[in-house]
Amino acid sequence: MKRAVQVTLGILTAIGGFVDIGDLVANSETGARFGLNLAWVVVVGVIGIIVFAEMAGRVATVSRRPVFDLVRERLGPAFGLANLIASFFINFLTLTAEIAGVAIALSLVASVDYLLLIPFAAFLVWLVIWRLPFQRMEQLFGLLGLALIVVLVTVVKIGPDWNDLFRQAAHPHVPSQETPFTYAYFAIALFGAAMTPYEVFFFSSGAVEEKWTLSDLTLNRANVFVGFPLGAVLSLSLMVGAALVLQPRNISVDQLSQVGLPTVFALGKVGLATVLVGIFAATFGAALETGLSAGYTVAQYLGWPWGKHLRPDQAPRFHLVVLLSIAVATLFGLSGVDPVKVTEYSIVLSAAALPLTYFPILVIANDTDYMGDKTNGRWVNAIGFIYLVVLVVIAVATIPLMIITKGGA
Amino acid sequence: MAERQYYLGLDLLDRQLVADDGSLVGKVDDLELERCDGGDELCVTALLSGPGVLAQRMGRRYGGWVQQAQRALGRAGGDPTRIPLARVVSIGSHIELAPGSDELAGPAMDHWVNEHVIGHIPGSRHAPE
Amino acid sequence: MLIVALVAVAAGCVAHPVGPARTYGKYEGKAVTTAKGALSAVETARLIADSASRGNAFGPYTGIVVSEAEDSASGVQGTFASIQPPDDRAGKLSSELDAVLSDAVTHLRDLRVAARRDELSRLGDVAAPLADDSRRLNDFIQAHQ
Repeated sequence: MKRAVQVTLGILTAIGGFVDIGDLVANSETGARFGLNLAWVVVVGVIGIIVFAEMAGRVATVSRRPVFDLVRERLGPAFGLANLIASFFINFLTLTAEIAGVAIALSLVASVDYLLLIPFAAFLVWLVIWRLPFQRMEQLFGLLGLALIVVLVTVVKIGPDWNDLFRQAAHPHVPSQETPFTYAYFAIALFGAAMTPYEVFFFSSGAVEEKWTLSDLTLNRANVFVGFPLGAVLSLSLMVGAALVLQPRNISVDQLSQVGLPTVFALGKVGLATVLVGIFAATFGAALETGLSAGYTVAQYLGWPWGKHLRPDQAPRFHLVVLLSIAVATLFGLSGVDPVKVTEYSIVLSAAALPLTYFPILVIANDTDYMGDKTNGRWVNAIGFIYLVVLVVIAVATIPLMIITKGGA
Repeated sequence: MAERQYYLGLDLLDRQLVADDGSLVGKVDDLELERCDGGDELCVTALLSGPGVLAQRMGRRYGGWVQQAQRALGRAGGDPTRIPLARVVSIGSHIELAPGSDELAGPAMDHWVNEHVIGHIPGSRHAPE
Repeated sequence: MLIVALVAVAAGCVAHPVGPARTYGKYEGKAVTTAKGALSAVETARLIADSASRGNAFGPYTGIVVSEAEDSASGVQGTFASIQPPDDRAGKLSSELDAVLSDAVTHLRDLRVAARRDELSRLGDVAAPLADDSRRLNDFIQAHQ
């Protein structure tokens, strides 16, 4: 019974963390601008993250060490440092965006300017990291994040022609008012949002925090095979909702508040309240994950004690990094930088750095020294390798596309 | 320790150091090599771990400065970044050390951070579960 | 280092999506971009006003969405106004668009005031003029795309 509860809770927590401000904004923006012509990217992206998250979770479960921890000793300190710098920087941008997202979600209820709420949001995030035990943290925000299922209900309530939708999604093309370049740029952005590196760091470190052992391999798979697809369904629901409600009205998404419009339209006040809870939970959960990831990455590269499973005074440098990261992200957010723009940058740059994150996972998951007999099977390796090639292509194309499209304008 | 051949780059460098109580105390950032007993071979005499060591090994200039600063600020006796080979208990997926590792750079820095920052925040001694 | 440089370049390119325009064609393009931005703001406001007047949205959320729409519209108006029209033809285009934008911004402001005063049931009426603004912006976009 306890195992069943663990599995259920693990799955529930997976959802909250898999739809963050990047997914909220990217899927709504894309739906409003491209209809369903980029839906296939979400599908490709979720398969990618399922395959690699399973690997990362398996590495952590079998070797008892998170993937990032092993990068330096397996691939060398230079590669590890490149990985650390890129990951930390992008993670920091994401953290700033998520904290702002929390503040915005709160402001939409309290009618206070979100800037005033940023310090409060940041403090709450830090406080939860500082005090709430890891499992409680996951359970609470995972459960709250389930509120986002309202975006699926939104689509169902609108009652679209499903055949028509499937046909559109299955025959993607570049809409007339867009160029192949903007199409590619948004495809990359969606991909970056679906496969954000911090999800893997966090998942991998989380497995160690929760002290998973070999007997938890099924739990690992359950988490991954149910949580991520559910996240994808929610992402697609956001896209469809935006395509049905925003696109016909020529509304483009440049504010987080607009993400809630389809739900307001379809489900009124109850829908609005629910989606705001969902947005709060998703951004707060992601802020926790990126805040912790800031500490995980630095501490694991340098060999410091790390983790919430230790008393804070047993891992002081780890907590110091987390605290400073949150503090600087707060200042950055307070500078008035547009949270949606920061979000877009973070997911696009994530896309550019994806090979750095995923290449080590593929290598380490095949290493018998760490994995014993639990190395990758042939199929997993085949898929993993294909994805890695795709990721490299994306990484190379990202910056040029960013310049050509002027940031997707 | 039983006789075994180790590949320095693979088995020693960048490995996690673990103290006798199981706590993490850094990674092997570099190795100290000396000529063995006046011969031509080089022997590992110590593991090096701490701020600046890795930077210096990877070729950055400031690594040297950090190390000098560390030594200036640190204890008078003994180099906190140097772990004599005799203190190594076992070499495996991580490297276990004999007791007495609180003189090491890692724990020393943790102690400093506790004293000056983390220790002042309420709840720092609160057990996680 | 290389990555930092590339990102800096990219950021520089993105910072001014609406830079100077030296030909009528380019100016017209920027006018259309501006009109599209304003149209999005106007339609956002209309959508929320409609929902709110039916009792389907809360005051705080409505107020913020309308405020953001107003800021967005006046923002694109200001950005467009800062671009020098390269010739007379562009000058006429500028006046034409600016007239529409000004009306839109005015109506959005009225809507924002009503929303912030929590007069949700009247929002449908207050938002009525925006229908015309929307049509004019749409016509402009179609004519110059």
